[in-house]
Amino acid sequence: MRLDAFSICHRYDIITAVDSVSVSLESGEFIGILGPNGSGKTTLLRVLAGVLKPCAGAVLLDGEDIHKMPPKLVARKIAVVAQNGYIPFPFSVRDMVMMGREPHLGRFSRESRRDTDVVSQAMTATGITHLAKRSVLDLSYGERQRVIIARALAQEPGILLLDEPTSHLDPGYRMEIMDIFKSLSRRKNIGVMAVLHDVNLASQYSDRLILLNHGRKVADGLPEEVVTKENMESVYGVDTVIQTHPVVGCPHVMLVPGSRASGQVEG
Amino acid sequence: MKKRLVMLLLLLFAAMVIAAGVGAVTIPVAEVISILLGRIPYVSKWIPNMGIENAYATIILQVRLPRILLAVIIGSSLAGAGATLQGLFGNPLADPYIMGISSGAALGATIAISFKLPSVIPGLSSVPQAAFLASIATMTAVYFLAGASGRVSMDTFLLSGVVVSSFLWAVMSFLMMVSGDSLREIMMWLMGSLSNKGYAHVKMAAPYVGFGICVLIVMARDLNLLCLGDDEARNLGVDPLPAKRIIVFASSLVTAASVSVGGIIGFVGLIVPHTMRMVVGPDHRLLLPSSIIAGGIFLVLADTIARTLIAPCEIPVGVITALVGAPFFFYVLKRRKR
Amino acid sequence: MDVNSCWDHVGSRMRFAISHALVLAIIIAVSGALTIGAPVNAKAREVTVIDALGREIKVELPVQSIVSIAPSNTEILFALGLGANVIGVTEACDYPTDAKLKPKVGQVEMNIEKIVEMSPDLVVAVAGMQMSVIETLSNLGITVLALDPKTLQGVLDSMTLVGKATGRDEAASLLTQELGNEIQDIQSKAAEAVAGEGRPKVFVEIWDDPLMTAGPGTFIDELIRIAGGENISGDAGMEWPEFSLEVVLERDPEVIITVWRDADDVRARPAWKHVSAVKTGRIQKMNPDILTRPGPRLVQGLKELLEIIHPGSLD
Repeated sequence: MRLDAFSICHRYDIITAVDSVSVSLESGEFIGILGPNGSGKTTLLRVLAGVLKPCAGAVLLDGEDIHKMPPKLVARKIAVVAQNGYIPFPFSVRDMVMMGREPHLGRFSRESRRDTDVVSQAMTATGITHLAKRSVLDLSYGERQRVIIARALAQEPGILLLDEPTSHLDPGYRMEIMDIFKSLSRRKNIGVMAVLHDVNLASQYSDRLILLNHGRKVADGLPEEVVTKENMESVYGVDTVIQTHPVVGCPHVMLVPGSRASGQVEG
Repeated sequence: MKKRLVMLLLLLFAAMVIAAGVGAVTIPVAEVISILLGRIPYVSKWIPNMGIENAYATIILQVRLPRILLAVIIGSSLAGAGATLQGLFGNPLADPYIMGISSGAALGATIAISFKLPSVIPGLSSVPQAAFLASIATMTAVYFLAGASGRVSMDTFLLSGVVVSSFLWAVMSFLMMVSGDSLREIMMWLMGSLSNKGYAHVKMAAPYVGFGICVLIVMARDLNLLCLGDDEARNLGVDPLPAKRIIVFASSLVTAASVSVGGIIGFVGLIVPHTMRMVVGPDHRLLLPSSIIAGGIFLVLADTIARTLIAPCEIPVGVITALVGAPFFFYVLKRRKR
Repeated sequence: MDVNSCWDHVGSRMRFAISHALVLAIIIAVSGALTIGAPVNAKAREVTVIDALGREIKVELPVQSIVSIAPSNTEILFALGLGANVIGVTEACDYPTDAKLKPKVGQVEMNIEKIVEMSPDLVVAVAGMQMSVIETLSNLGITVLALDPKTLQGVLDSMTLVGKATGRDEAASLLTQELGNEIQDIQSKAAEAVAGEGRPKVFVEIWDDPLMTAGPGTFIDELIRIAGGENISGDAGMEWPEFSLEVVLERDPEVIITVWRDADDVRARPAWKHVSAVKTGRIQKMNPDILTRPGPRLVQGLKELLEIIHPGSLD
């Protein structure tokens, strides 16, 4: 399965959020999207998910225009883990994960044995089986995030789009969840594209990184090609020291304190 | 899941039978049963003719039964629409009247009363017909007003509902002041009542309510996803805009139909869905049908109390729904918390 | 919620009216203080009466200008020959026809400013319903006579009271005598008819949806009894109850009187088709004013009721 976006644009009124960005994602690939606040990362992800329509360009899912496909078909192939949203009612964890099966169910069909199996597996994979009967409203932030991830897994997607899936989590949870995604992309051959805030986390887990600034793609390549002193300075406006991670071997960024105050960055 | 719905249906049936047997006039149980069974084809052959007084048969078949059916129809629609709109707006305070449907119906009724509009359906006054048409028109107006800003957000929706509603009440108040002697009839209509209604009212409301409720039940799945927000719904395969349109239309249809025949009866659409959410959980596939059935049960029982408590006089059913509903709601809330 | 806001609206208008009344009260109090030294009209004769609120009301005669703030009062005033002195009535005062030509001082709520501007010698009000208006007007120095008859005899008594307060004692005693005789005549004819045919069961439909009727304590209940009928909702325990339809069917009225819907509307109701009154066609629509307004026309209502309940007994 592959997702290709060709020079897509998106505007909110007069503000251009995404400006002719092209990306492609293949099965088993793990791509991290980096960029400062307001660089268009989330908007790009929403366009790729089919939620927003691009004002130019197209998003193709296995060669088919995603914005012309029925949402149900898209949802069978692409799952999205957005930032934690508002849940108005006390759905049980199990019900919440079962919602991931909706794209596969007909309007009048009931959940089959296979659906319950898939849901159980997804809950095992995310370690929430013991929470099955609890209300999602009673869970901690980290637990709730894992429920949403389990729901995404229950969709049995070929492609997983993640919007800062580990923000608000402590380092332990953060690693645990990134490990889950990484192993999914390896073992289940799922293409993962994740918007990430943490440059080091992105560098550690991604096969490829895409760096956005002002809605434009400024770099696209292996972590060592993207996470460079120059890129960090031009995009984030910070002075950094880049070293190689002693265990993983990826580039690791260390900030030089006070460098942003020098005023060399524009708004 | 199915078991619970079947249980509720049995409860509804029991409530209806009890309501048919109880009233200001005491009718022996044996006669109630034989009158009811005597109306069922094939079974009636086996029922001995007990020399039943004509008045008893009339009371049960022409007075109580249509009223019970009407209570079921109105209770189901209000509770169903309430559950739906609470889900759609993701707001547990939503009720069926939130989008200005009641004000539309009230204005329609006021116009019909003030201008003495002629009836289109024989055996039924023009008031419910006008109320129905006006509430559908109101709903459409609210929808387009909300949509005028481009995409339909639920906040805009609520806001246009409030705006349209206030405007219509103002128009109505003006008409009421001008119309002098019709004032009383309008006030009476607004109070909401199930008294002195017949099968004509049942026949008018039933098709719309039946159709609307079916649509809502079919859309229950989408409602589960829609209450999580548009993006989430979309990501799980539901196109939010058309789904919302269908849901808003269907819930407005059932509300309009029930308001037009029963006036404005409060509390049912707010409290029944809440109570059922505490009992069966928030999954709309179970919550919607349970609320619909429970709404019927609730209004049938409330109306039975309304017409027997101070017999031979009656109490407006809205008084009972509020008096019984609020404490019961607190009881459920407290039990749930424990 | 919406109905409430409708009432709120009414309430705010009322507050508006009351605050205006307060401003006026101050103005009048000041102007009254200024006229203290004015000479008193020596020719004026003063009468004192006790009104329905038990208040001592002092009225200076002759009474030149009267405002009536209830249709029943208007009818009484005209019947006493005071029509020419009535300078203000309500929108609802539609009888006699001349009353409709009078300036209006309100509909349900009274326009206090207007009444004060008219500065009538006497305002005739109804106790109970109009307590706040009576209080406001009295505080503004206007003489208000409150009437509140509960029975047919009470209506005759309030005519006497109005006669006394307006110096029309003679006209009042003539009127009450005439009406009293008429009532007695009807009573004896009704008694005769009851001896022959018993008391037919009567149902009065005030409203159809919800079904409302006249209970004990209403003029309708009393008039039906005097006219030789039995009000089937005489046990209702309320004056204007919502009444159980099935009880109506069970009690099977022989006569149905409507005041709102037409007889045909009643006939068209499927549930009512076995009711005696429907089967025999004894459904009659009456003008509610002659059944409910505590004025001279109640006697006419009584007469019509007798004719309906015991046809032919008047001849």
